Amino acid sequence: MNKARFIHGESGMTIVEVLAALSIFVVLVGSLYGILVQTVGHFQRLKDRNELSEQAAYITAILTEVHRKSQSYVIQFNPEGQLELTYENGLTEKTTEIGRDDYFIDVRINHVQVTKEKPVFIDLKEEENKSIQVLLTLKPKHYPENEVTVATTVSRMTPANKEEEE
Amino acid sequence: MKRIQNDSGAALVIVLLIAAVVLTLGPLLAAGAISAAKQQKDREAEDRAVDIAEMGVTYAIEEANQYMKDHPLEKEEKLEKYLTEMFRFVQTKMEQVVIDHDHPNRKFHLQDNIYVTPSNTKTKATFRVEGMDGRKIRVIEADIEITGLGKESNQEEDWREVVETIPKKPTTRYTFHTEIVWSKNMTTHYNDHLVLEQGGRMSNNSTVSANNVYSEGDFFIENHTTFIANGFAKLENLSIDNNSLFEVSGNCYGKQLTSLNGNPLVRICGSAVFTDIYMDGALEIGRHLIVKNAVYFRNASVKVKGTAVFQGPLIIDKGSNEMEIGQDLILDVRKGKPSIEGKTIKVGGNLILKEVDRRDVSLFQTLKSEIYVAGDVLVYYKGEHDPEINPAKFGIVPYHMQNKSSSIFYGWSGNLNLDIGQCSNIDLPEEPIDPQIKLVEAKYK
Repeated sequence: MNKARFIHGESGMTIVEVLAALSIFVVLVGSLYGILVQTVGHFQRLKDRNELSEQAAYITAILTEVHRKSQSYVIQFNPEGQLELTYENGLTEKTTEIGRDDYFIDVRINHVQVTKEKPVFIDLKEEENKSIQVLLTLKPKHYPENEVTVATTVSRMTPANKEEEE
Repeated sequence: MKRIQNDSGAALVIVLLIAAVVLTLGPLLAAGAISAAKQQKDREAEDRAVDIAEMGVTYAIEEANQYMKDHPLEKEEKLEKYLTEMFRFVQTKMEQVVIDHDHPNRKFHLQDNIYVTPSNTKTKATFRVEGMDGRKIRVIEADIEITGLGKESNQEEDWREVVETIPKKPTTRYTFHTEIVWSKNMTTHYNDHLVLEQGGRMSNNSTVSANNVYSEGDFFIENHTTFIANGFAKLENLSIDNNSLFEVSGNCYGKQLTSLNGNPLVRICGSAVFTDIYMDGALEIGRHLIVKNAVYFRNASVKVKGTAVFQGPLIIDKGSNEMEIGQDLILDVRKGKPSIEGKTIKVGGNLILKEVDRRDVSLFQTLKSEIYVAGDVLVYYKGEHDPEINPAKFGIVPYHMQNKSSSIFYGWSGNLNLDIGQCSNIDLPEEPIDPQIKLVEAKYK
């Protein structure tokens, strides 16, 4: 009797109702999943962009430091594609490598592009090199549209002392 | 009641899911952004501290310049004491400066440890300025030179500056890629600069004038011709003869200046820098004359309003007329001793001989002329830093004690005739009246 009531009672769901509920559920979950994926992707890109901006600021800071404290330096790319700053201050010569695998670096000094074949040499004993224009672009390998460009002028108050080297 | 019982619970799941996502990603994103912002802020503060230190160095120099102008060094005042007081004054002034009213923790400070090497000609000093932005402090060490505090002028540096400032090739529509030959009896005026990539040749009564002249080939001026540069002239070899005139309003830079015959006139109203000179005729220089190698004046008369520097052997033949130098005559004997047989030499400043061997008994290979020196005779021996002033040898005596066995007379008080024709409107700068500070180097610590 109870069984019959369950089958024929009003509290049950017809197959149509179940299918309709399932369809609505699938559509809802699908769209929510889409939103979730988009949000995570957006978040990731935002995070990458923040990191890239930080990297650009870091590279600029290193370049500024080298420009102010050395007598001359060379900016070039090593075979691994990393940016390499080789600077000398009187008797010592040092090299700093900058760059990671997840982005490409493009550097232009006074509108001249630095390439593997064409390093740029800055002699800070020359008055004209007291101030240089730097255009730095970091382009992520996965999201190239997220590139970050920094245009700045790196300068020092005076040229490096010529007599010091002698 | 019925609605609650019938709810399948999907809404709750969705809400929880969204909440989970937001609660997980939100703090991560916020933490990243806060960290990046903090780093950015720190970096900006460091950069600002450097900028403030730079500003401090500039301010210190400006204030020191002003102090020297307002409180000139008295004759009896000691230089060390004067400089100590000056830097104390600058330090006090710097403490009073408010860089940014909204950020009182942004300031600069002149440190106490100031090193001074006083000198009558060029005092050197080193001081350090701190730039502060809150807790970020950056220091710049500044090396400065103070000139004009003593009595002596800075002529040597003045002529050195001329040698180091060779002009660049000008851009002009009058640029000739092949050797240019100007026709006889023609007058040509270029109302712009003139660039001769293969040099040029003038002959027989032709006249040429231009603004700046830049020649990368040899230049020949022959037979009653006139060449006038109304700016500077940068040449290779210059050959001039037979009553020709070569006149430059500004400085002239050349390799070999040769005039073999006739009576040409080379008149440079500015300074002249040559590698070698082989000269007949008249040479008139409005400022300094610097010759890097040998000089042979055969039948020449020479007037130099400024300092004459001969870095190679100087030979003045007996046919030559008087030589008059307005300021110092500097002879470097490293490449050969001078040989002087012309008429008298008159020097308005000092006679300075450099790289003299202490074993030498004579400063000159031949000296058959008298040299009158208004200032002193300074002899710099090889490897020694300080000169011997008016040594009682080499025929050097005070002017009032001149005798037949002596040839070099210092303390002379006669007159020089340094009137240089068309250059009369270009005067030599007087000795600097106001002391000046030059920032030599700023070292970022």
